[in-house]
Amino acid sequence: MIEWLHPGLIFIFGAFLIPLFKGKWKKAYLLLPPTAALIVVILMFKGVLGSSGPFWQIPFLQYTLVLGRVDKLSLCFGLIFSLAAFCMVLYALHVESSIEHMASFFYVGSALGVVFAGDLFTLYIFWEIMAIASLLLVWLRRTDRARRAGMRYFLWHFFGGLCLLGGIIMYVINTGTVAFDYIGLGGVGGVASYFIFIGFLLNAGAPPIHGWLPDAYPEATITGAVFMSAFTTKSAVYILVRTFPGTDVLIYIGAIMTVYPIFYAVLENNVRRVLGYSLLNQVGFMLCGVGIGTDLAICGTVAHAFCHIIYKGLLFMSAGSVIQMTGKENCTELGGLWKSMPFTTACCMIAAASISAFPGFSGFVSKSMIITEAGSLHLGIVWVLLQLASAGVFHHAGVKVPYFTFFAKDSGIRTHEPPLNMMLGMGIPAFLCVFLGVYPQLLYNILPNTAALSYMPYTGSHVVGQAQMLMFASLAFYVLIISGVYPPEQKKINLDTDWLVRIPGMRFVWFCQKPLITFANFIDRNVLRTAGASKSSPGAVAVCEKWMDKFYHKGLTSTPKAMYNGIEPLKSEIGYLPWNLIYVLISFIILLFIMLLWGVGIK
Amino acid sequence: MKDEIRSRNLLIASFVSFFALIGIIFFISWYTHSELWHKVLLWLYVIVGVVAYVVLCFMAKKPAPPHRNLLIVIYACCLTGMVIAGLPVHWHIAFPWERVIAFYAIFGFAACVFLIYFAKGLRLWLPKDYDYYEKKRRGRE
Repeated sequence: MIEWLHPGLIFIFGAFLIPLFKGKWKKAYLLLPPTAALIVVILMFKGVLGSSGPFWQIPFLQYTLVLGRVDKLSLCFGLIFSLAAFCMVLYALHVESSIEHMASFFYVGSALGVVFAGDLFTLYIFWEIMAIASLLLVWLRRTDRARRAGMRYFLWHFFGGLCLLGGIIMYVINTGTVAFDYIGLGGVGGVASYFIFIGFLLNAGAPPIHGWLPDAYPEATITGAVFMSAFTTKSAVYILVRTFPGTDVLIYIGAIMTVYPIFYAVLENNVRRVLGYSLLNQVGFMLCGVGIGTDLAICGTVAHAFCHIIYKGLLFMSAGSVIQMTGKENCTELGGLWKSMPFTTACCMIAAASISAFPGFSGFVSKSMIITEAGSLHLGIVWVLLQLASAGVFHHAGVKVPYFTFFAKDSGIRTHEPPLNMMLGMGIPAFLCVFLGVYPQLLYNILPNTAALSYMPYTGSHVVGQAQMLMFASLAFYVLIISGVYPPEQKKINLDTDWLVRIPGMRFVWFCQKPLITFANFIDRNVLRTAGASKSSPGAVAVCEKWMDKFYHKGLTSTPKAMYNGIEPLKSEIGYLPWNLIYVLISFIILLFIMLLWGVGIK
Repeated sequence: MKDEIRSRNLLIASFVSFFALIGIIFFISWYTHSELWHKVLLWLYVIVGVVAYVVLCFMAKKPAPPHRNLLIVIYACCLTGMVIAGLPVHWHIAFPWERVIAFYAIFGFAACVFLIYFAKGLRLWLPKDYDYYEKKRRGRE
């Protein structure tokens, strides 16, 4: 009898077998790992497989690595991750490219790895695999914009990863433990905790380090964006629930994060970018819940993450179906699609109702917990901001996306419904959105603590308050659009913090290429001239250069080159591989080990 | 133009069905404290969903304009009905401003108007041309 099985590793090992299958067999095989992982997680819930306690502990130096830390919190996230992965793999089943399926499997597997990680090293390694795999999902769009957006995405995540790595090393040296538990700002971790905090916040998309999300998600492949909507930010939320619950600053970060994306979402033209901004807005609610940190708020956060993954995935799926079938992704070019795609329209409407927290849909039973808790702690400004954001989310995700895509003026596009697998992939989450809204107790039963069990979402004041608010928000939308005040869609882009990478970053590269290189050349020439090498013995210089060449260019870079040549057949499919990036990553992991050994040495 | 009015009406119709649902949820949860309403609600969803889907498909085939004025009247009734429904509710008050009659209605309307006007203000300097960054890059090179 197996003691425990890692659902993430099912995905990661399952990914390697994908290229071996073709046609029908491939489609059948693709559904196998998600189903297996889902069954494994459900068995963990039932207690058949281990339902609590650390599993798969590996001794490493003087530390213990834990691959399977199972408790109610990780089980809850494990369940929703594997459930979402099943729907999304079903949605992506028609995709031919094996490498895209492999990337998404690695991505899901590493996200599950992060969820079940019991120590900071395991966490870091899965964290970085997640970044690389999601980068591939962007690059596989194979457009110039996607390539550039992917590079920027990687730069942001590289920054976050380095903060996290530095923080982890300092934390381990300070405290002598690799345990992945409550850290808290300041405290025993000291400066290290701030670095770790920034690393986590970057993945959660907290302002102002959120530029990567609305930049890269709209450029990703259609199915890739669906995967990305679920895992990166929500695994960061999971980690923040673990390590920084009750951190006051998170309340304010979260409250600001719920409000400012609304303005961008109202102005934005690209459908998936609007959804990216509304994703940030929803994660803001979760960060606020983590910051409040009471039992009910933590329950609300986890429940909201659970529901959010379902309805946000569904929104990205319906937007993806539209892009797949029409080839257009801007609100200005879409409209009137409800005639040709009624099923997609219905799914999008259900997801929109869920995200705007209509009573009876999944968003209502989870979001109200966080807002209620902000109210009962008398956080006035935060409460107002959260309510403002709830009214605003109705505007952009609840009305704008369905309205401008499926209704509004007829764009003249006539198409038909997406393939059956995509419709099934949308149908399951649509059903879950309604089901969780109607039977919230099922969700409340699996939450990490029991505070939610006594929580009643369907009280008179909740239902009527929320309904009044949404209803009059809809009236405002109707009045504004009739009177022509509502800002019309423009074919423009909006400045956001990705500007930081795009303009000052470009200037920095120019600075390195022009003045710095000129200066270096000047020094180089003068040193050589002073040494007299260029005049007296040019041969010696040549020999020296040859050796340097051999060492740097052959010795150090031959391994990645050999690896690259080994997978030559894949080259046509992928265009080019980020070998230099992986190489840098491996170097950093080696650096980590060296630092650790050093840390062991000084004690 | 006709089509635009029709799709706008369709949106109103969907609002109306949502709000009718909310009314029913509220009604059932108000008068029964049993678990029965969950089941009732689930079946209602199924029925309303199927009906809405059939209507949607029907409207897609036959361009018969719905009764616009009637819809607006129903919508207005829903709005006022929702304000009236709030009167007998026992509110869980956390802040003094929640005591205002129909506070959430006023808040929802005002919040949206504020958000739209603020966003319109931001539109003065946030939007750039579609190839803004490409132009900058080419300028560098």
